[in-house]
Amino acid sequence: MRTIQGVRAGWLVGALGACILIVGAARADVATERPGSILIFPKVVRDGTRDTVIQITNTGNSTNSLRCFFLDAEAGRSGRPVCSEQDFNLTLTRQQPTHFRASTGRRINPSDAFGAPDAGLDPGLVPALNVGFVGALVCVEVGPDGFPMAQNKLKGEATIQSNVGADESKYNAITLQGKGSVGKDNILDLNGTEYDACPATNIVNFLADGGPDPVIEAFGNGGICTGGSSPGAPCNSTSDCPGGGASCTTGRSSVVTNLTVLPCNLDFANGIPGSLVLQFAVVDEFEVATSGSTRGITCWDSFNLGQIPAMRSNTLPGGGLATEFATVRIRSTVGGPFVAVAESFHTDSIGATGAAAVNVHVEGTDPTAKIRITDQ
Amino acid sequence: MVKSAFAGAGIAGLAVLTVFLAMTSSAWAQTAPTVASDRAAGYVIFPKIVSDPGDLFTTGHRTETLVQLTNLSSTARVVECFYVDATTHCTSGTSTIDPIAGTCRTRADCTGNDTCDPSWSETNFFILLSPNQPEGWLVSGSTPVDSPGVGLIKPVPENFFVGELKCVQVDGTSISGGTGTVATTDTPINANDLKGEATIYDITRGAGSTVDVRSYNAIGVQAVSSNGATQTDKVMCLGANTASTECAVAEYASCPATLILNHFFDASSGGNATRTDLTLVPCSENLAVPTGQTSTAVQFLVFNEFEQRFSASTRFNCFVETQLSLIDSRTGQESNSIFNIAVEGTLTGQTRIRGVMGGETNTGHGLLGVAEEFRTVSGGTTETGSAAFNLNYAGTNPNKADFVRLP
Repeated sequence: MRTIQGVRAGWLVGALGACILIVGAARADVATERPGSILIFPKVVRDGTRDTVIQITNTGNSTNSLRCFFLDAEAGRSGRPVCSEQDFNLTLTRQQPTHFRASTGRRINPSDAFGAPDAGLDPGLVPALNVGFVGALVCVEVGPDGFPMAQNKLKGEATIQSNVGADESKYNAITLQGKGSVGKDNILDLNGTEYDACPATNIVNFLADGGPDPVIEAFGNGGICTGGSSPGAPCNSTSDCPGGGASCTTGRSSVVTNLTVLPCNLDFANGIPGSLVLQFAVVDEFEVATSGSTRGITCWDSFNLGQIPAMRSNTLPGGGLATEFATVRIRSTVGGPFVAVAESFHTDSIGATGAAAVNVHVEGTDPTAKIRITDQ
Repeated sequence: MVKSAFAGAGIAGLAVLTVFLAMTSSAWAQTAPTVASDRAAGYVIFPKIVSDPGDLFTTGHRTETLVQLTNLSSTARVVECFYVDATTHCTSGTSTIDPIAGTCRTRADCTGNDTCDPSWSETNFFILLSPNQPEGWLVSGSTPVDSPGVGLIKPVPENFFVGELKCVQVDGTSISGGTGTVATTDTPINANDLKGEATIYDITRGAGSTVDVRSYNAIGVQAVSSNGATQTDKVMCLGANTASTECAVAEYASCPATLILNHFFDASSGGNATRTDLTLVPCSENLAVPTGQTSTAVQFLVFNEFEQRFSASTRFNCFVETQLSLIDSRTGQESNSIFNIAVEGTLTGQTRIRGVMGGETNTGHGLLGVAEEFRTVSGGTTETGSAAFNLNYAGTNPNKADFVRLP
């Protein structure tokens, strides 16, 4: 009898161990398409020419409380990012969507008129951001006591809009899911056990930075007329340039990809900026690989890929990229992992520009990062 | 005796753990297969491809899509791609604008009693991407793959094109010649090496030119296994249905049960306007038989910022691209729609989109999609800008599979 009990116990231990392994082996990495417990908007802009609209939704059927942190990365007197934080609280009812604009924040006013910009259940007071703000927004699900609590029901989008025209870019917030009990402390371990881990590698497909835009060259104003009766006029081909001896000098359009990087190690409690060293491995269409380029960043960074010569079109001085299309894998060699978002700017020969943002691909995990939030 | 019993128990427990680890080590070494647009996959879908470089309807805008596709593997990979043509045509085959192809946008472009109906046809091509090779092309043109990759990327089949692009990793290691003759049996392989993006351009020329671009990531459907082995047939099983003879075992991740779209409610006031267009494509597709497409009922659950809930539904066959307000209202009456600020009263909302499941064992009703937001600002001149973004996903439908049948 005891033998049978013993064997049963053994199977039970084995099955229990297997279950623990199953739980432990569940997805443990960031996403841009699944609700989570931590929302990261790496790029928030209110720089005078552009403004950002943040959308956040509680996709669950329970009330959800959030603590949100703006990370201000505009350059201070020293020229380095000030890296200060400003936080606020939100409460969303079941399935409630909400939004706020960086330039105005959101007031609490139950009397907002039907269809007014802030109509709806007020989620909480959101501060407006100063002109010149560039940085990030991080929101964390918390319980009634203000400590982190994972429901994994948050999703979000950021829309960066032009103040002077209609152009806009949009990307999904990056989400990290909590893994059950996340502990009664203000330190969020992004280790795959408490919360999802950040990616080990970020991958970006891009067009040779600073080089001509292939679509604008083919169908838009890719060039400028020379000679003839309208020198300097925009053109697509010589037939657009009137007058004898006129020609269209093409190759005048450009495409630039801007990458915004936010370290996953974030210390809002102590105001200590994260520092990273990024390493870039570029592959062009000829399968030519270039690696070894590095870039150090502190707090937050937003830079054009063309600042790295290996990603700059060879039509520009110092450019080393010989093909129109390329892929770059970016890793952090110092300072832990990071998240990123890309935004491309496409400009024709007379300066008309359109922007588009995309979330970047990720590969692998780096479970070493922590987010320290302030006391409630 | 007791001692040996406990020893036996320990061995049994250890055995369970060992077997479990052996079974799962490869699958769980990374993560469970999923549908995602930020991870490499064996099957990638670009739900919206549009091309009108010649401005067929003389709108002043030239439209084109730039596709980027990268092989992230350190091994050369053969990829088979399909353009699914859902362009609308007048039923008589001729239209007021396009007498030859009969292309139309609405019934108003047709004559007589013609209706303007979406077509369904596929155009496929093979390419070989060398290790880690990125490739990009304009969909309106024919593009040879850069060496050391091989193959010829076909153009979309119509001058005015609306549809989707699907690419899947198939067997084979070489393509002979630059014209795209491929050494493959066209059978999918267990691999997850593709990533992609689409950028849609609306541009005008001349002195007052405009450039409007929007980008989205291709949706990746990951293969369950990444061992590189060739699959047993040309039916790709997205999820498993134990009652099915073809897809009792999953070969790819299941399609999501629910798509979640955060959006601005459609609004128009004083020349300024915001609208969201939604493109939906089915997870199940018969690329071998044009008439074999599945019709799916779609339900929309809408929440505004007051937590008020509304719903609507519609049905589609192989591709639908619509302004949200036109899901439940007609052109000119958008302000009656539950997707409109005039009904909802708040600026933003959440819409949960679900394909209604059926009892079939040879097809499914999973959905995938992408959203585009259009913003019009009226000042001295009227400008329109746009952005595209991927939808969020929630859950999967248990014991429901989607079937993709390759020719």
